[in-house]
Amino acid sequence: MLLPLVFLCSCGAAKNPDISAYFNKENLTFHEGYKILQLTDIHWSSNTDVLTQGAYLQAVVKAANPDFVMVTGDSLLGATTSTAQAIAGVFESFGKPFAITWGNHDREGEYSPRWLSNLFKNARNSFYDEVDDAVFGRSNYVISLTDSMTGKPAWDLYSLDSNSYPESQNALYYNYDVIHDDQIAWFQQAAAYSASQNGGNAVPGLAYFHIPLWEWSYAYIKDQKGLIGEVLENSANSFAPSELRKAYEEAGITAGVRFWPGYKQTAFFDDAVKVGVKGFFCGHDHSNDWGTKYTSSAGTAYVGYGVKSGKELYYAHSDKRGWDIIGGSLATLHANGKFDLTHYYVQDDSVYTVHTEEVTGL
Amino acid sequence: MNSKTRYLALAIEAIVYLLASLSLFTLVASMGNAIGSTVSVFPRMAPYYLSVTVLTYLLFILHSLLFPKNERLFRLSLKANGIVLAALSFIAALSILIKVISKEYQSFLIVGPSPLFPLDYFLLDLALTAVGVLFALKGFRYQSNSGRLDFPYEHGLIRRIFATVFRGLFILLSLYLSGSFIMVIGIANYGSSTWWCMLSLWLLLGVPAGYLFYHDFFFKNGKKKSLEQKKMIALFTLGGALFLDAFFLFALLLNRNFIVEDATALFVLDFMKSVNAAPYLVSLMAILPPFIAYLALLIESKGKAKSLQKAPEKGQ
Repeated sequence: MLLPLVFLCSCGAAKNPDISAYFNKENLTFHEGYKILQLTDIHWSSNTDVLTQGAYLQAVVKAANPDFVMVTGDSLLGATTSTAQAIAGVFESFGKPFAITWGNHDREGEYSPRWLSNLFKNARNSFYDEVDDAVFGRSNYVISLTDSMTGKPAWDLYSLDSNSYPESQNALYYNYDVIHDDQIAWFQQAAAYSASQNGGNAVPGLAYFHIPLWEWSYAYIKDQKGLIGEVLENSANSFAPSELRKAYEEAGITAGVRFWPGYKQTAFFDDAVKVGVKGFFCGHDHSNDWGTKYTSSAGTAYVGYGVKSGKELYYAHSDKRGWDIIGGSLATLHANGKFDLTHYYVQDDSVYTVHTEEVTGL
Repeated sequence: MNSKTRYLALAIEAIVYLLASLSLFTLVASMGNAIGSTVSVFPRMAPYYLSVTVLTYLLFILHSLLFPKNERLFRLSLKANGIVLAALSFIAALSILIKVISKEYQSFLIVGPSPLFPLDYFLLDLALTAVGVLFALKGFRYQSNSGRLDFPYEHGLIRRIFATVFRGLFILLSLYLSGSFIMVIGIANYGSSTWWCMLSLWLLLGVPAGYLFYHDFFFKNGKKKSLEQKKMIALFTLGGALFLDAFFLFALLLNRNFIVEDATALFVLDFMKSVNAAPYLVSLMAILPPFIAYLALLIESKGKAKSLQKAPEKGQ
């Protein structure tokens, strides 16, 4: 009966920290061609051969040779503390600054969310942050890359927790959650703060989170071929919101919705594009590595999946391209506010064969 | 078996129950992952799955030895279960050893389902092999013991089959829920504003183990209870279960998201498959046993009342 007392004693009041608290404390200097490698859906569990899979992740990082590694969620599923410690150790071993966003499955392990947060926060080279605040979710923070000459922000990398399962859940099944309104309000404050540090000019940015927005579907309806990758999820999402299903039907896409977005559309894409976000990257749907440019009334930006990192849980093989859709996705940032995107498909063979696909001038 | 020895044996059964519940909790997440994986991990994890299965099997054996139907079955259980236990646990230990020697497991200590994996399961399997051999030897050298307690089955075949299936399933589910119950202490989101909601779930998670503990230690102690006494126990338990279920339902109505926030780790399969089954499962696991018991006792008492009515009719 001590448990409730411990619960009671440890209850704390929600805090409202200054917006600058969400930005990286340690400086990261931007240079032309700064490279950010997105790893996603690593999905280590208690079944994982961490030595083999760790070596694979190191091979992906070696192939892409990034300046920064961003892990967009579902690093773990059904893992023990020792598995979680092992993956943090692998992230450290990259020898690169890294950050993570939470996925919907990261909470599902033999540890408390707070324990996992502290593990990632305290890891060497980690830029992961979790500010003690009232904003929904955990991984809401900004990595600012500063110009070495002016000291002003050159690019911002936004990490957002797209959360896991919503409050308005059905009595029989769980839908996926979205980026909440208070997170969007927080994001707008952060973007405004960054602009204020840049003489009032919007700072170009990339947004990283786990669960795709509805804009992924709308973009696919307009441009199924896309600029890069494929949609290889082989079954239709039977829980997809009816509005999306209807949009697919009207567009004559008979294969159904092969995206697993949050349960409702949010204003995040529009609000983010308005303040300079050029690219939106997610994970979640392991077999999809597709991406394209999407234009809404607010503006145009790239929306796309990363490349699933490793073979844990399920992954796809592209017959068209002749390789497994595993590896990482590299964004190369330019001083003119544009970026290039390269998908690294690192095969899990004895020599880690690498195939690449590239889109420039995004 | 004197009462002191019996309680000691029951305590051992309880310890095995705790170990099995924690092992089974981790196994479910592991198997969920294995089933959903493109590349099969079953060959790699097979020794682990077998080890947990054997540990759970030991629990069932201990129960059958503590509550034998008669002397013949007691002896048979010692012999047959002893041999099977020894064989399975030996295979599990051997397969771990082979995986270590072949470097599929890089050493006796790798990152896996437990902090000392696979050494802990290897040693456990060796111990269980010894236990199996001991049981079998006891069975083959068995000498009749008049001081032993028997628990002969009092009901018909259909009810017996139903009870065996239902109890087996109930024990497996309660093992998982008990594993969650223990795990909560280590992984709870301490400081969460929904702590009281989590408390309602935590209490429900412990209920099935509470039933099993009460059943083995106090209810089935060889002393005959009247039908009325049994009905009272079932009714009292049902009342308690309904109260806890109401508390849980109240928590769910006020904070629908508390399971997502604080308890996703406990119901990995639900969240893997996006199915919201856990709230129903924990509620039913609390209510069903006393409800079924009360219903069965009601039918039994009605049957007895009828037979009492018929007896004087015959006499007339």
